[in-house]
Amino acid sequence: MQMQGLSLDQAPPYKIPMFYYILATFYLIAFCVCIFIYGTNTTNRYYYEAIAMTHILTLGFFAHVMLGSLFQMIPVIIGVAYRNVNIQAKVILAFLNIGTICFVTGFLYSNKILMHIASLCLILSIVYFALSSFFTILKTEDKNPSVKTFLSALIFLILGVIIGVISLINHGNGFSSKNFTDVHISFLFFGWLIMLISAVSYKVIPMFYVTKEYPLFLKNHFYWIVSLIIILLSIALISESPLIPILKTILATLTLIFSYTTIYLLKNRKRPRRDTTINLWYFAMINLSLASILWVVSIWFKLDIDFFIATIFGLGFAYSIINGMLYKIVPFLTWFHLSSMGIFDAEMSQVIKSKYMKMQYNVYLISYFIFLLALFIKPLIYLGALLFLISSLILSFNIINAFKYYKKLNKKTI
Amino acid sequence: MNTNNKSIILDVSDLEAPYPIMKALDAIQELKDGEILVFIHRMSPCKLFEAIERNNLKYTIIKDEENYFEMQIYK
Repeated sequence: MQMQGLSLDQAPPYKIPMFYYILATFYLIAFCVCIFIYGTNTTNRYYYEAIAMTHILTLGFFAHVMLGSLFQMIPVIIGVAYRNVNIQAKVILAFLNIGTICFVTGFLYSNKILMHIASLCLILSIVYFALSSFFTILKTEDKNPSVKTFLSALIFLILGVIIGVISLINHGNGFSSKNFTDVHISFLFFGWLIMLISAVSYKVIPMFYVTKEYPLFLKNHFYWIVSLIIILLSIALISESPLIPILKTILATLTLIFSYTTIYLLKNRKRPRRDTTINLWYFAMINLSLASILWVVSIWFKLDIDFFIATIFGLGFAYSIINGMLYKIVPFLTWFHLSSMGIFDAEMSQVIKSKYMKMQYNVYLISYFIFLLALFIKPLIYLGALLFLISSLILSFNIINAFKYYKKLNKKTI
Repeated sequence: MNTNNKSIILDVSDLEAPYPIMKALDAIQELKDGEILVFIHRMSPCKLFEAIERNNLKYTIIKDEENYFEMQIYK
């Protein structure tokens, strides 16, 4: 009897997440080009150029990788499939791209019409994606802590995007305040990003790195405590309450607990082999810890180090962890799809060559430290951008090559 | 399932994804009538259940705890 392997019934086609990933790397390249052009003039996070550059990274790179990954991961790890995933993913991708491009050009050229088009497209793509994912996940019978964390993250994504779009639409009318922007940031950075990474980590870290499970206490309580603090913080921010520093400190402490637990689990894993992905995870978690500590210090000692913390959080933590996840997900995805089609020649280690991953990681690492130095020695930003551009080109090359590897093996069997 | 059946132990708890499922798929391919595959892992293997059902095999979960999962797979 011919045995049957893994089922592809619930997974979307291979090309769907891959299109998201490949486009994401193009935005990284665009990000580097923008640093070359506008980098030295952006000394305040509210400058239009700074807003545009931040969103090339968050919408262009982070959101593309996250949405593309969730289309693939939710069916595989939660066991429920999206309805009409092929059409949904393509429509969302189209609107997300139009929205991102209009957002960035709208801010770079101070064009209100483009900003309004961006608002519409981003609401249509991201909020629609979040609602679709939310109701898809809700179908699972097993409401384990990972599922609850995913659901909480999606709620904050919807709220964060809506608040962002309200700010964008009313931009320049006196409505958008600094505090309102801070609510947008806390919803998306803590409610969405940290929450999503914790939900994914609960599944991915024990699965791929042979660690023990995350402690039940953390899995059961982290998501609702973080949610509660974010909601209290947003109320405090809008009402300019004196509780803001205390709530921010609690949030930073919770983040520190998560990052420390991840480092502890990775340090005590059963098979302590070093590869680029594990280095990226460690690096991300160290930066998350550092950003949390510096945030608390800056709050209580009233230090103006926002840019420094943002660089550590954005490029040191968020970028690094997404880069690390890409290097785990892409080979796994390629192997999973090929073996599900009965192609057993696929080797995960051959999908992206280890030497190219290492090369990209090393260049990224140097660029990151140069970016940090550039906060004190301005002209170094060009060197940082050049190195980050090289790193992004290698990342793009690696992802495109993975796609080619899949096509080559797939063609062999036709 | 007969208690006198021959047991084959497959402990994949030290392996990273996707090797546990690859080993399990290989093992169920080799499974003969009257044999029981005792599958030990550190977590519940969600994709393996689909493969078991698709191949008309049966399973019994023996233990599903934090960091330890054991089940028997048979024809």
